[in-house]
Amino acid sequence: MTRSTALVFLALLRQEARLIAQYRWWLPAMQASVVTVPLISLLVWRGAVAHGAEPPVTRDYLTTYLVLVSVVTTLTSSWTAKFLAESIRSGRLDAWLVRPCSTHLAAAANNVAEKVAKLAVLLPLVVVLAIPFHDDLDLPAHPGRWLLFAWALAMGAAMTFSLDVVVGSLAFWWQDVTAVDRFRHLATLFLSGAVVPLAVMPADWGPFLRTQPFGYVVAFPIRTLLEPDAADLRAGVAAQAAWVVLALAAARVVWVRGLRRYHGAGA
Amino acid sequence: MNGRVVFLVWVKLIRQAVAHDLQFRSQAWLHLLASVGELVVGILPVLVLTGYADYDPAIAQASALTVGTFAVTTGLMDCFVSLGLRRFDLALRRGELDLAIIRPVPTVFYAVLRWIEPTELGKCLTGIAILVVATRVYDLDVQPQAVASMLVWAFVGSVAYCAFWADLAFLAFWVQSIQPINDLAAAWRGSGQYPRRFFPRAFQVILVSFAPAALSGSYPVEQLLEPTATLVFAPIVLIAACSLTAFVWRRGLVRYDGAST
Repeated sequence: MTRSTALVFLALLRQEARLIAQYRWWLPAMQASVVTVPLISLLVWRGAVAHGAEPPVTRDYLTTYLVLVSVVTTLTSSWTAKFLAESIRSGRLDAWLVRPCSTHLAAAANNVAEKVAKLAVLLPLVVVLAIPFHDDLDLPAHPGRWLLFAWALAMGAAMTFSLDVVVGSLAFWWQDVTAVDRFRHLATLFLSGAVVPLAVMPADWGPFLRTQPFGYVVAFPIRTLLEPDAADLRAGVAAQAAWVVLALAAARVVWVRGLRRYHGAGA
Repeated sequence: MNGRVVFLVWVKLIRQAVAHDLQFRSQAWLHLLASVGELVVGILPVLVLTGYADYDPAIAQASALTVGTFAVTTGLMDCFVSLGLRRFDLALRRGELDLAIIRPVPTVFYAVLRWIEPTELGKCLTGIAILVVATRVYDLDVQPQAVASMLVWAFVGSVAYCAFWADLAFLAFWVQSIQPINDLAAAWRGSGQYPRRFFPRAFQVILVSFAPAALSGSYPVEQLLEPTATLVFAPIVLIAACSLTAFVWRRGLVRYDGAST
């Protein structure tokens, strides 16, 4: 990244931070909704275990997973597709194409700034959620695990952002991509482990769940903290890196091909 | 206000929504599939969970009926109410409410119920299919009064949850940009598709009172399988939920001073 690009990025970050500060209730309302789904899952799974259900993971695993999942979901999420598609359709993309920096810089700055703000609101909520279940939380003390967790989060975020660019770029060809975005969101929601830990899915689904990409967005980063033996994570780290490279390449190809079709609406 | 006029306007709004979907057929089909997909994604966690609770066959039976009922009620909510509530914050900020106020129909009706998504009814069809299959698989022998009790509670529960959601959405009169509160309402609604017995006692009470997500899913099924005398409370719940929403709406409307003036 050149110095000028870094300066533009910082300026955009400040702009986004000021914008977010204008909508003080927007963030707490949104983060409350983010915590609600894991809270419901946490309560019913613990309730089911208390009633005699026997899932293939321990109650500590379930509790730790479902307390962490809202943080991981927030940090690896992306919401660019809708705005990118809109800018392509309306011709507002022109303004970014003529600038001497990446077209996606504003989206990246929006993503980073919003995540920082969301995290500031989300963490107290997660702490409140964790307090009643603190006896069942099982987090590693080794700093290496947390570094690996941070790395897996960054990879997951990069993959989601790239997939978002792919979906948004479909607007170069299609007038309305909301349904495609909805499908992608659905697949991510279920197959990433954001609603239910992948470890409790039926055993027959195991081979498919291990190879599909969405599990490396949410479930794998949490697994880096919960896996008893770190050596078992090597294959996962490699697979996640491969999916990230593939997603980046797909985003690049779709974007470049789409741009060739683009006719600025304001021209 | 003339009820006939309101009904005629509503019918025309439905026709308009259907005409829109017929015009954009490919998108309508995709949204229909996505709507059913959303339902399936919501249902699968429940089925996975109850799959591990096979020590009690009654749980699997109640779960299948609950997800079916929940699919029908959420399909109706999402077809007729949810979109209007989701758009309410934006309508308020853009001054679109001005246009609703000057119409010869109740403002709350025109502001909230004019946004109709016929494709969401795909959830209802899926839900009915689930209910039919569950009834046959579990060979249910239910009494007519139990079915009536279930239907009444499903209706009352749907109205009560829409009212609860509206109470949250109408906070937009007081708080700027509270649009994500709709995501919170939609997320909380999902708790209604799990058997209520899995929740802690305090949550079981909340789910049928203050935030009545269970009233549109698990509670009507409880009344189908083990009928109780609670049906007498249904009108009270209905009146209380609607009265509270009317109160919030009136208080909010007093604060509204027209964004376009």
